[in-house]
Amino acid sequence: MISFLKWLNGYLTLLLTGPMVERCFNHASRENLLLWNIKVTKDGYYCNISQKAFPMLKDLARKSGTKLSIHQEHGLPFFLKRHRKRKMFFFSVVLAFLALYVMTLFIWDIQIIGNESYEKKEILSYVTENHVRGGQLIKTVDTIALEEALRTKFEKFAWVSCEIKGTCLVIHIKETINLHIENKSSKPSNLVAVKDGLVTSMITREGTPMVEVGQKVKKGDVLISGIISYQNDSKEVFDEAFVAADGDIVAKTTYSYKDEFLLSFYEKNCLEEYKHGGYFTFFGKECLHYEPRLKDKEYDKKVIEHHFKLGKTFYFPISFTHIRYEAYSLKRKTYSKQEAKQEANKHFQEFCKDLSKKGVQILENNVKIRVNGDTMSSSGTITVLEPIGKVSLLDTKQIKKEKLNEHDGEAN
Amino acid sequence: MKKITAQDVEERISNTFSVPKDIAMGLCNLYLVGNREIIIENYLGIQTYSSEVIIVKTKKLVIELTGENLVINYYTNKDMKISGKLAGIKFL
Repeated sequence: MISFLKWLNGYLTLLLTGPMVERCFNHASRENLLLWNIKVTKDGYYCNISQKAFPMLKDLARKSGTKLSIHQEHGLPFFLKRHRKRKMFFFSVVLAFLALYVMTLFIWDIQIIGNESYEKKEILSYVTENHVRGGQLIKTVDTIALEEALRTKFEKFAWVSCEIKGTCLVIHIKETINLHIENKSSKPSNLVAVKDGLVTSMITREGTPMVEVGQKVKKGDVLISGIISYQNDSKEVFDEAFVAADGDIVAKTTYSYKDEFLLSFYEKNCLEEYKHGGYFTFFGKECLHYEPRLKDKEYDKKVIEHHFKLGKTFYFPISFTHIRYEAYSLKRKTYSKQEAKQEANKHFQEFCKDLSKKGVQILENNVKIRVNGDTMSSSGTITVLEPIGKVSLLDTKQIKKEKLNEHDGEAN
Repeated sequence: MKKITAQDVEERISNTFSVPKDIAMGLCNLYLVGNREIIIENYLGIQTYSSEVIIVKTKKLVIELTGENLVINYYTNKDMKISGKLAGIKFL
């Protein structure tokens, strides 16, 4: 930093000769002048001094009888002086800085971090079509509105945060593990069963329990009612209150599992033959396409986008897309009985893993694996323990109306 | 009886009142980094300077530094830094 400041202000390398150069140095130090890199050579003494302090040293050198000459000039002021006639050069430097500044005012890249269930492409196309386009002014980007829109559009998003880093919009996403069962609400609601099952445990925190442990329930049955009835001594309902039913209901349910695949399949063999292509993108427009000549083979296509950027976050509206074609050959193969069983088992284990991720506890499975001619099929049921309560909002106005009509009928 | 010099008085004052000796007695400070660098504070000026010998004058002492390729990295009225291959420090 100090050397940069020295360069910015400009400094000189001087050659001092004479019988009493040391005396000149001592005078300079007493006058508070900074001298650095003092070296002795056959020619004399070399030292560096700032451009501003040079006239003072000149006087001191004269007093001490030292000859002083400028050996080299360093720094920005001297550079500008040397190139003062190159007006176009300075003009283009200023123009480049101006262009850089203007480019920092826009969004040139959108990054999505943390998506699992939804594809990046899907989220990106929603964002670019409805909210933020590449090349939009940073000032006009409403990140809070974008966060809300993303949360509403994509159900599995539990938390979304949008931040602007340099010229890049970064969308951080966290997804929920088990969102399909929403079991909490702030409005008057019932908890209903999302599927058929046998209730194994039940905890009611708010509301009236409608089922008991050991009872079979069907999809849509009310498990905890959001209506609390107040009864008098003769067990007549004299008032009702509406609450948001809350509780944990776990039931024994079943999942049916079916998987089928052919015993014969094609195996991919990489040939280690690569072809390269690509194109440039300027301000969202593709140009300078290069497509390699592909032989009569099968190819995998891998696309890697390289954004031109300064530092980590200052993206430019220029990018290069590199396409790598990887040749492969297909070989027809057939699973042996044991291999096919292993493959079917693998598929089943993956299915169980997905279930476990949802917070489901597997009790037993009745899945059978069979070979039917040229196909391998596995089917059966899996018995699990899982929460089955789901919020169903209550139409309190409708309920009150119905109650009033009932009362009117009884009165008549 | 031994004659009491001004230096003895200064030293006694420094010891009694716990005043640093460089302030009380006007001594210089030397900071060495191996035999490669030396920083000198509280000096009056340079008497001789060549790439093999540098003689620095302080209030009470004259210091002779010997070595090879001696270069003064910076030189101000407060301190100076000398680098090179130092061979010896002599107090004259």
